[in-house]
Amino acid sequence: MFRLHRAGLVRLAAFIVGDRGTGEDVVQDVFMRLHQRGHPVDGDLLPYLRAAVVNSCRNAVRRRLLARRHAERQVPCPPLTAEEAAMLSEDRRQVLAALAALPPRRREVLVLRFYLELSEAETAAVLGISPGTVKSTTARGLAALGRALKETS
Amino acid sequence: MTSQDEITRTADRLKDALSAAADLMAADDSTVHSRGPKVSHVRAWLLPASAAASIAATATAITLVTVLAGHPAGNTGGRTITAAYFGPVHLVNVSAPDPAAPDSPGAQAARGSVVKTTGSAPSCGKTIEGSGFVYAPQHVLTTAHQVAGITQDQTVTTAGGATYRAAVVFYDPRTDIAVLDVPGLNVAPLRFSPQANPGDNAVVAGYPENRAFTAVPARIAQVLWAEGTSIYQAGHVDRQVYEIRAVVQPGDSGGPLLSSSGTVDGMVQQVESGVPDTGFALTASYVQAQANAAASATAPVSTQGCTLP
Repeated sequence: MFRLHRAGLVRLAAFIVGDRGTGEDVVQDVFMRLHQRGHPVDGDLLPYLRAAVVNSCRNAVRRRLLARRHAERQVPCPPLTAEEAAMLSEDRRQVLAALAALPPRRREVLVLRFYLELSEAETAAVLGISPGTVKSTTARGLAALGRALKETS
Repeated sequence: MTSQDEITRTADRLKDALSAAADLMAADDSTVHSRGPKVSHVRAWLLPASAAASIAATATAITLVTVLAGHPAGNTGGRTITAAYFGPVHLVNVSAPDPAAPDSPGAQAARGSVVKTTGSAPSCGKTIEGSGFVYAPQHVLTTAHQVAGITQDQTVTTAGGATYRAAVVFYDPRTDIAVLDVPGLNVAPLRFSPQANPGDNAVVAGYPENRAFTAVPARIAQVLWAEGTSIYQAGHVDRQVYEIRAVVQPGDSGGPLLSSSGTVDGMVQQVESGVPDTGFALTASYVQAQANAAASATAPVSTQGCTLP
């Protein structure tokens, strides 16, 4: 189960928090907590894991924002390393940078919808919000992304 | 203000960028497990453990191995292994086993209760051989993966060479535990031990590679909960296991891990870990929780399908 989903969850977390080290930490913490609780779970844990990862990402982002008040630095193309970013086209780099600049809720919705390709209902379940909110947040998120991309290009 | 076409185009660009970035990250997933030394992945599905073992015992040979590269040979501590439905497990160091362990009176006395299991699975063209042990009158405990898919000629053979017809009366692909009813098998059941401790001497007893009865020294390295899946690689299962330092071979699966007094510390699970002298056994308490209910069962149950693809 963990082996199966770990890499996918790390990528999900990395897209949301904007860097992979934090993403790995977040997923690690989620698994640790699950384990400590002695979760004897069988069956499909994935929705629960996704929700736990998204939640932990929020906390991680909050902590990091506090830490960064002093040393603000621009991540060129989160969550990739500079070498990896260099392998992406300029267009893709811009899209990822614009995504990283969105408010957290919009970024979460867009990543769940367009990276994991979850339905509106599934996304709603993971985030604990209504499908209607997912729909409107998706629309606003895409519009904001489109505007940001227009400005940069 | 923003047209539907533009929205769709933005969504497509986002999907494309996310998927390209995910691919780049996936290429680097080899580092995800360790966050330290570089990890190399070796992937193989249910490898035939040895060509000599032919079709036999391959059911016990497993899979996907993750080993921290650059680790000194022979020092297993610190490595992480993951098998098909087992792990990741972080190995620990323990001293070499006592070569005299198999000679202990307890281990010697247990010999008569350790049996070889054989059966055919015509649906996947296999004969599967492994080990087991008598844990209740006329009832043999073994691993589910070595009776998986067997529908014909299920037999049990004692160390003395007597062969009996057997029927699977308990089959649990989640825990990897199965029970055979063997009418006429008049062999004293082995008793289970209380929990063994790291450092304890033990013995792996079984019929590796379809050979005669074999007992090799072992030492308990640690007791842990190994995360994994069912033997069909579905769901999520936590199994309580001992990591042992011992030469465990294909065919040993299902055999007992014996204490020096001849009681059963656990049931051996042969895992193709790629790490020498390292094996695993389901703990006695974990096995008992499943098997006790089947100690007098006589109604045959389905062995579902083979574990090989």
